[in-house]
This record gives sequence, C-alpha cells and structure tokens, in this order.
Amino acid sequence: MQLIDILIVDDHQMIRDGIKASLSDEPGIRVVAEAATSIEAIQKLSQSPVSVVVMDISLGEKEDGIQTTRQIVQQYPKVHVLALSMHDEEAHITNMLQAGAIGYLLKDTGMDELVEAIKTVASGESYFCKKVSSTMMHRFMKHKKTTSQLHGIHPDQLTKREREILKLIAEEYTNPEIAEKLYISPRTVDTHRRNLILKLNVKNTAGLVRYAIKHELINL
Amino acid sequence: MERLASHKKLLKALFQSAAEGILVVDASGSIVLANPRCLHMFGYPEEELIGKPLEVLVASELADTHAKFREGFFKNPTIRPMGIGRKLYGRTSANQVFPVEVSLSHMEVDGERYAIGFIVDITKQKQATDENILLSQIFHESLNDIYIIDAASFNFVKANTGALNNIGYSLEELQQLSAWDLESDQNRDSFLQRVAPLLASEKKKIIFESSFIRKCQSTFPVEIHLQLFEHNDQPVFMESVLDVTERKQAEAALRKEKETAQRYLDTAASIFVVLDRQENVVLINRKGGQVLGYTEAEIIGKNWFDHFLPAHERETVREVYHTMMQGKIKAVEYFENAILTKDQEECLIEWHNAIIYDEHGSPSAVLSSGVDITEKRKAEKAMTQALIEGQELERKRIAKELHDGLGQSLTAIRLHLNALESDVTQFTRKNQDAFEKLKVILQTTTQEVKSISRDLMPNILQDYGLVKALEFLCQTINDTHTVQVQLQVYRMDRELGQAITVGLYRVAQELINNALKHAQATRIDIQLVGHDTSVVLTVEDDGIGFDFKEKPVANHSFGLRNIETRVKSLSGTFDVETRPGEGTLVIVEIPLKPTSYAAH
Repeated sequence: MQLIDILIVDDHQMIRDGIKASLSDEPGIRVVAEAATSIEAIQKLSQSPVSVVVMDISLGEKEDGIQTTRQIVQQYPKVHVLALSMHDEEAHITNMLQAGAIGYLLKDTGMDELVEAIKTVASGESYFCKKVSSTMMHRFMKHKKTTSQLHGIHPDQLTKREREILKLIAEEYTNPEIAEKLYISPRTVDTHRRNLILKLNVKNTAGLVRYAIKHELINL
Repeated sequence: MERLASHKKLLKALFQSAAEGILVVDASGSIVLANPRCLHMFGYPEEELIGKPLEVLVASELADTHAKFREGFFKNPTIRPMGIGRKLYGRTSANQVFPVEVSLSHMEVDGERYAIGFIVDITKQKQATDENILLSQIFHESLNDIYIIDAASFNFVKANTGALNNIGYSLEELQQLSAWDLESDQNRDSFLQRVAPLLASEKKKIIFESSFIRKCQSTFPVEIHLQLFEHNDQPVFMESVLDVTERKQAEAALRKEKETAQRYLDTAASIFVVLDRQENVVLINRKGGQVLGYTEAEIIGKNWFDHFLPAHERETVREVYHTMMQGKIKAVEYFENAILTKDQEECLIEWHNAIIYDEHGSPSAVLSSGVDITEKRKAEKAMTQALIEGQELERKRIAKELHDGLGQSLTAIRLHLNALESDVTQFTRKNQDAFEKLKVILQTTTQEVKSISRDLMPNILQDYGLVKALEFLCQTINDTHTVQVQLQVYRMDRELGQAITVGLYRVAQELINNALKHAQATRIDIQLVGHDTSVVLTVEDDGIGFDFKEKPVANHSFGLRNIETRVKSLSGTFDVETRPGEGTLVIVEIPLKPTSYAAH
C-alpha cells in the first residue's frame, strides 16, 4: 500500500499538532509538511510534493483557504484537497467545493473520520462527513423548489393571512374595509397587498383578482 | 235780480265744495249749518249734526274751555285767522280726536248773530312738525358731534350742541370755517379727495379716522362718518364725529400689553403659535418664524395645516386638532409632528397644547408651544445606532473568540483524543468508560460553543448576506425542532448594507425565538420581500397569539421592545397583528436609501 504524504494547512498550531497526533499511529499516512498561511502552504508544496492537502478555510482573519485551494488545484492538478473547517454553512461548503476541494470534514463532528477521509480523497474520490452531505442534499432540494417558483407560485405558498386578504381584495373590499374586518391597521393591509403583487408577479389589483379567480380562492 | 241769483248759486257751490270744513253756529252755540267737507271730517250725516251744540265736535277734555271761549267770542266778536291761538282738537262721531286749526269770523243775519268757523284737519302737518322737532332734538342732543357742511362751499352750516360744546366754537364762529379747518393735517385738496367717492355717488358713506383740533388748539382722535344729503334742496355733508380718545387709549393699552406679551414670547426659546377655529394662525412668535423661515407677517392669517405641515402628516394632525376644537377631547397636551419650513425641510416638533375658550365656554383657539426636537431625535437615533453597532461588534468579537479560540481548542482536544483511539483496547475497563464519557462531553461542549457563537453572530451573515443566513437559520431550526419553519424570499437580489442586514437578521431571529418559546406554534412562515424602496420582513406563526391592545409593545416582553428599537434605528415601521388563539404576525418594513437598492 502506497504511503500517503500530506500537507496540513491551518493557522492554529494547536490544531496542526492535534492532527499530527491523531495520525501518528496511522502507518499509511505521513505528515510531511505543515503551514500556517497561504504563502507558506504554496512554498511548502513546491519543496515537498504531497498527494493530499488538509486545508482549513479560515487562515487568520480571512477565508484564505478557499483562494489557496483554488491556486493549489490549478498548479498541482494531481494534489487533492480535503477541506477541514469549523464552518458548516452551505455557502462555505459550496465555495470550497467550487474552488476545487473534493472532501469536506467538519472539525466538530467529523474528526473521527479523518483517516478514512484522507484515504478516500487520496484515491481521487469525494468524501463528506454526514452533516455536510445532508446540507448539500438540502441545497439541491431547495434549488429545485426555487426554480419552480419562477413559473408562478402556488397558492400553498401564500400565508394564511395573505389568502384571507387576497380573498377580500377579490371581493372588492377596500384597504380600510379589510382592515376593519380583520381588526388590523390599514397600513398592514397595504403592506400585504404590495407583498402579494410582488409575490404573484402581477402588476396591480386586477392581477390579484385574476389570480384569485384562476386558483379558485373565491366563489364566483 | 238775475245777477243776485247767480251770486247765490256761486256762494252755494263754494259752500258745497270748499276744501275746508265750514261750520255756522248761532249765539246759543247750536250748529246751524255744516258743509259736506265738515260733515265728512267729523263723520256725521247733516240731519244728525244740525241743532247739536258745537261742543260735540270738540275733544271732551277741551269742551268746557271751548264753551267759555265761544261765549266770549260772541260778546266780543273778532276775525281770527288760522294758526293763531290755542291748540284745538276735534272729535268725530266715533269719538276719534284729531288736531284741527280753526279760523273764526262772525256775521249778523236778520238780527241774529252767528259765528262762522273754517276748520282744517292738520293731522298730517302735525305729524310732520312733530317729527321735525324730534329730529332736531335728536340732532342737538346726540352724543355724537354732528356737523352739516355745505357741499358746494365746504363751509360749516350747522352743528349740534354737543359738537359746539366739544369744539369750543360758537355756531357763528364755526360758520366762518371750512370743513378741513377742524382737522389737523387736512387741507382743501385732501378733503376733496376724500369726499370724491360721495360726490360721484360711488359710496353712500365713508368712514375714516382723523384728529380734531378744538378752538383751544387741543386735539383729540376721532372716527368720522361722512354722508351726502339734500337739505333745503342743497347738497350737504353730514359729518358725524365720534370722539375715540378712550377707545384709542384702550387700544393703546391693549397693544402695549400685547407687545409685552409678544416680547416675552419672542425671547422664548420655544415656538409659540395660536390657531383659531378656522385653522388660521393668529399669533406666532419670533422663534416660530425662525424655525419656519418666514416673517411673522407671512405666517399670520395663513392656514396652518395647508402651509406649514408636510402632506404626509397634514390630515392626521388636522383631525386631532378638530377633535380638540369640537371639545370632544381635552387638550392633547403632548404631541409630536413635523412642520415644513420655507426650504421644504421637515422639522420634528414636540408640542404642548392648551385650549383657549370663549365666553360661552366652547373652544375658540389653541395655543401650542413647541420645541424643535429634530436634532435631539437625530442624536437619539444616532446613539441607538451606535449602541446597536457597538453591541454587534462586541457580539462579533465574542463569537469569533468562541469560534476561533475555544472552538479550535476543543477541536485540538478532540484530535488528541483521536490519537488515543488505537490504544483504547489496551485501557482498563474504567479508563475505557472515562474515555467514552470524555468524548461525549466534548461533543456536547463543542455543539454548545458553536450554537452560542452562531447566535451571537453567524459567520454566514457576514460572508454571504441576509438571505443565506436566514436560510441557514431556518434549516437549523427544522433540523432540531418539531416546528416547521418556511422561508420565502422574493426579489432580494440587492445589497442591503451592513446595518439593515444585521438588523433584519436580528429581528427575524428574535421573532422566531419568540414563536418557539412562547407561541406554542407548529408552523412559522418567514417572508422577505424586496420592494422598490423598502424591504418587508413578515414572521407569521399559528400559535396562541396574545391581546396586543392589553399588552402593547411598550409593556411587552423585552424582546418586542428590542425589535422596535432596532426597527426605529433603521427608520422602519413595526406592526403586530395578533389576537388570542389566532397566531401572531409581525410585519417589519425598512426603507432603503436610493444608494442601497442598486442590484449587485
């Protein structure tokens, strides 16, 4: 079995030491270099060739990890980057993957998978810890939903209050009348009306009425 | 003989058709003859009157005197013409008394003596004369000084007693003077100019104020009413002169008092303004003029609401004013509204109002004192903003410390524990248990630190904006709670700026927390809608709701007040729709400055 040489990029000495300690009993993995900054990482890479870079997203104040990953992937196409981060937000994950990382581990939930992740990434396969996988799946689902919104939203996407107000508008009630009927202020009725016009992508009240009729929200 | 007959005929005709009543009485006082005019005047048929004593035709109270007079006349008969002698009143058959004038003559026929009376009904003349006397009395007794001036020569013709007493001239002296001589600073030309409208019949009366000079050269202020009349076929001016010395003094005193009050008002640092029932400005002090940018004269008499209030507040404030003026409510002692300056800028004024009542006890005006709190409000808002900003910075710092410092330490501990993993099998049973326990505690601690850090300041908000941060927040809640959180976002592809981004995130976070903690909701709908000039955030839950009227924001939970403070610091509006059992809907609208809604 071929030895996997790795470079650890993290601005915290404590973390780098921890990773090294946690890999010390792993015969197939060898930590050949470590770096605290982006510049140091590129420099170390030019001196000692590795097959996997374990990369933190935050290097110091900035998210240099993303930029550094992009640079490494461009300069050393054979090197695989495994992201190691405190950030579980979807946007961070997406950005890191777009920069070229093929694995993503969360420091707080995935560290016991570290060895497995390094081995998988070294072979060119993707590796995500459980939390990251579910976040990405969620994003995919939501993306589908967003696209469907472009084709005019379904009445289900109106809130209870919006449906009530839309119905009253279609029944020719004025803002003050609706306000009185629902015990709310005319200003909030107006806000609902404006929101509805924008949500339903119509131009005016007539458009609201047409929508209400089309989706059978009122009895004619 | 023939001539005699014709004379007799003539006499008879004269008797029959005379315009005067003719009455012939014999020496015993019996009526012998009465012509038709006489019969008509006294209302008797001829047969009824002939033979009656003369005194039936005389007013009862004069009858005795008249009988004596008649007897005297027959003793010493003379011819007495009309209008001489005592006043006499006739009496009709209907007992009506009327003034008459009688001229007397006498004759002897066949040795009998007769008296002949020629009688004229002078009712009308007497009325006219009485009226003349009355008018003359009024003229003389009038408290006004009245002068009659010849409209051709402009000389004084007459003056009433009051006028002569007041001015100090005799009538003869006055008649030597011309109309303008009694007034200071007047001459022929100015007088002509003044009366021109009267002479041209453009006006019936002119009224003006002037100053009169007495003979003794003292002057006094007057109000003059001048009219043109016909008098003895001559045009004359009637000049009615009112001595207004006292009125002027009272006016001066009042003016002085008003000036003193105005001086006090002018030195005041507050705006003072008085509005009448018709919404017009009756009084404004210097400070008010300064704030508005107009002179006092430009403001007085103008409609306050139409001229000096911005359109968006005009009707609301007007309504409050009228409610106050109709006496429906006591003075709204404290009120805040903006006013519009000459430069079309709005100043926020804090008003204290007092209603001024008329003698019937109904409101007639409102006195308001106002302080310009524009700067104060700006400073307060800036302070709130600074406070919120400082708070956010501090949160951010703590979040970072937790995330980067504590979080990394925990990760390092975890990695070192991992290093022990391969040796676990060699541990004693007790050590193995301790090792597992440590791992669990470490895991929980890590999660807690992470969640505290995220609540304090999600990195994602800083790095990816409001929408992503809210999506993440909702996802986290959906992963860990049974409540369904739905987020809908419309037209939010724009740069909001740091303050609004953080502000809206905090508001959403707080509202969601409220719904989770207090509302017993099963579903929360969050919407973010980007309008042209504003962003609307709505958070709606299906929970238990509450009675907002009983528990408005002011005395509501710390959370809602916090939200309101944040929204106000962003110049936004904050509305709560809720009723017990019907869920809660909070609508927050934040206006966007033109620079912040360019899509990015």
